[in-house]
Amino acid sequence: MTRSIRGFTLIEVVVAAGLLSIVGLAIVAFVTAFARGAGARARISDPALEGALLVERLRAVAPALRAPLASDGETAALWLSDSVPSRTVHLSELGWLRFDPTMGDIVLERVADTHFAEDRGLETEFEADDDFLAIREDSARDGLLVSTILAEGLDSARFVGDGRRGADDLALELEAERATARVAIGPVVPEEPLR
Amino acid sequence: MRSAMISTNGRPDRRAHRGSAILLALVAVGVATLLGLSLAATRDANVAASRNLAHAAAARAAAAGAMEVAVDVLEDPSTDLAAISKSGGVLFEGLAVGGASAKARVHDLLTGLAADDSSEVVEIVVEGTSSGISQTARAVGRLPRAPGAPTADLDCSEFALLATGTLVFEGDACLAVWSGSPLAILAEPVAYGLASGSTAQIAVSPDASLHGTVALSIGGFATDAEMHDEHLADKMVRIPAAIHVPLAAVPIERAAESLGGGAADTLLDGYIAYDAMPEGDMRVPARAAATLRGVRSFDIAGNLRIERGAQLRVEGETRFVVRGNLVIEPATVEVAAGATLSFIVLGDASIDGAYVGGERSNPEELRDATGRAAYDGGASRVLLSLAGGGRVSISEGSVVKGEIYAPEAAVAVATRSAVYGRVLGRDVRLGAGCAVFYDPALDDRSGWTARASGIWTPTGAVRTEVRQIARLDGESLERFAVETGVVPEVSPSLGSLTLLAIEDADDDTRSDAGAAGSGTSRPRERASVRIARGILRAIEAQRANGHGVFSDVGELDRAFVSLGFDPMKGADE
Repeated sequence: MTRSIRGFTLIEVVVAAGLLSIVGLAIVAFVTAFARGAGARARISDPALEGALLVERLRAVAPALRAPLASDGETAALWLSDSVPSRTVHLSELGWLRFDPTMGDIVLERVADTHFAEDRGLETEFEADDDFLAIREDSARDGLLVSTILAEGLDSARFVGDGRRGADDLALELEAERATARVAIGPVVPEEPLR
Repeated sequence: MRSAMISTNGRPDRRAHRGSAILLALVAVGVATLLGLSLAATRDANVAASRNLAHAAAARAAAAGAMEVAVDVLEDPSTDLAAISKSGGVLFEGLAVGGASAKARVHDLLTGLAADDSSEVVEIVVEGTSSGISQTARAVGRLPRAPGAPTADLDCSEFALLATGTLVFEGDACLAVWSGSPLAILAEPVAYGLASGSTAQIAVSPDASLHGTVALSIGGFATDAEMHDEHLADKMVRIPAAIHVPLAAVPIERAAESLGGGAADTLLDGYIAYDAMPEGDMRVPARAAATLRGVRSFDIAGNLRIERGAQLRVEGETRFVVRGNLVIEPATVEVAAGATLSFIVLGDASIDGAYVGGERSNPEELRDATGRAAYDGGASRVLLSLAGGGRVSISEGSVVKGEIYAPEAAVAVATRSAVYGRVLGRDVRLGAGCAVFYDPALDDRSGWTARASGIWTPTGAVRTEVRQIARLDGESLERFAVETGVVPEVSPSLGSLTLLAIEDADDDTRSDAGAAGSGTSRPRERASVRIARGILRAIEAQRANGHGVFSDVGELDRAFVSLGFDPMKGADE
């Protein structure tokens, strides 16, 4: 027998087995991490998280949010504050939450403050039974609205209210990646953090 | 090289390849390990976001809870605000709320500094922190008054527009809050009306903008929040009785001996550091620049005319007594920080195309009648008081940041002019395109609309002594204080006017009144001391007789307004 047909030594086998183990473990870690990363990326659009963040952002934008006023499923009119002290709704106090299906965003639209400064007559006081959704259409047509994105990466969203707790009872149902979530927009806890 | 790896029989030498497989394997292992570890270290965004939300919720709850504690502490009359001021405004720190901690600070809304015992309106800032994530809650409100002498705001400065005769809003006239005021954040309604409480003599154009305002009417005080909201929805502020508006203080008669010593006509130009008492007119010539320094007093027998293009700068406490007419042409009158300017006019006052107010911090502001002018010390720096039944005309795009107190005069704001402050007159007319933007800092909640003020008796009637104040002069106020034990409060500029009569009584000689360089501080000090002593005597007498001192602020005045939460900090959103 010549040296060329001699088998592996025990040490070579042990070293090879060790290397294979290490490589195997690395491959397993790689595949696992990749899978987790893909899952995490998918869950960025988790509707529950987006809903919670939406509420946080809405509270930041409108800390004195008073009540939802109207909704047609796609758009909801909100009374953001009583900054014109009157206990009645004024144009400068109105906001509209709306789902933008092309971008997958939920935006809050308001009439820009600059317009009120430029035109004192723009400020308007409304009655409780006014059509607050039509007011949005008029404002959009006049180019008065500015938008703030409150949630993104959604497949669909719609406003629902069961009507059992009054007209200001409003919730938002969000859907993304075949998962759904529901967050309450109203009734609003008044004057948080003062209770 | 190649020859070295070929054996002599022409076949590759296996020994030459020994070890290369291990090297390749090691490289592969290294690469795979790095890849695996780097990807394994990738954080799961979902877990991170959920954790952030959980900690944010804990921090938010801590901030909300601590805010309640802070409000309770501030509403406790025994709270030592002076001590809080010494600690930089920190109310408490390290307060454990669940697993989070909270810190509360309080600062004066007007000054921006740490709140002290002179603060009336404060902002509470509470920061809750949980695992590095913090949420900040804010609330603003008026502090309850410490136990002590009750006060009465007698100059009706809580009203943006108050008329004793008629009140007219023409065209698109506007009445609103001065948005640049630090206290605008309180979102309190702006009050206007007739002293009688009647609305019959108020003419409001359909195009007038009166959003966020309430009209004075006669009725019962709001006793709870619900009634307060009802009144607000009705755009009314109700008080049980008509308002008594004292007339403006009348300046003392010019001493006969001083008449001969005064100059006939006087020009104000350059730096002025002396008083003057001209027998004729006083002028700031066209395009001149005059600076008034120190405590200055000018008693002008004729007219005061600030001519076109002139610039008058006031750096101290300055008072013009104008026994003729005041005319301000397109000119600039600016009052520096810490200074005040008072015009006491016995004739008419005309301001055409001029700026009169605090020194403008924004050089591009010019005459901003839109309501967005910078605060620059507010309206309390300038007072225009008409002691007679003359006429005040503010026109041609004029901007006045100050108070106009003319209970016997007709006041007209016309041709796109604006007053930042307040206007009180007999007949007040706000023209089309004109506006009054009220400075809420003028309202210290001790006036006619405050149930707990010294104007009202505990049974809800007007003190008879209030209606006996004919003029806002020192003698009347002192008598009121002595008889009632109530501290009379007037605007700072009006306060200096109230001393005129006392100066007259205390210092009959007043030999230096018209002399250049004479000061007015000594008689003023004497008058202040005299008023203060009278008030203290009255309060001590009340206490000795077993009468409690009522200074409790009503529940409605005590409420703080939430500003909500700031965006959370420290979160990996």
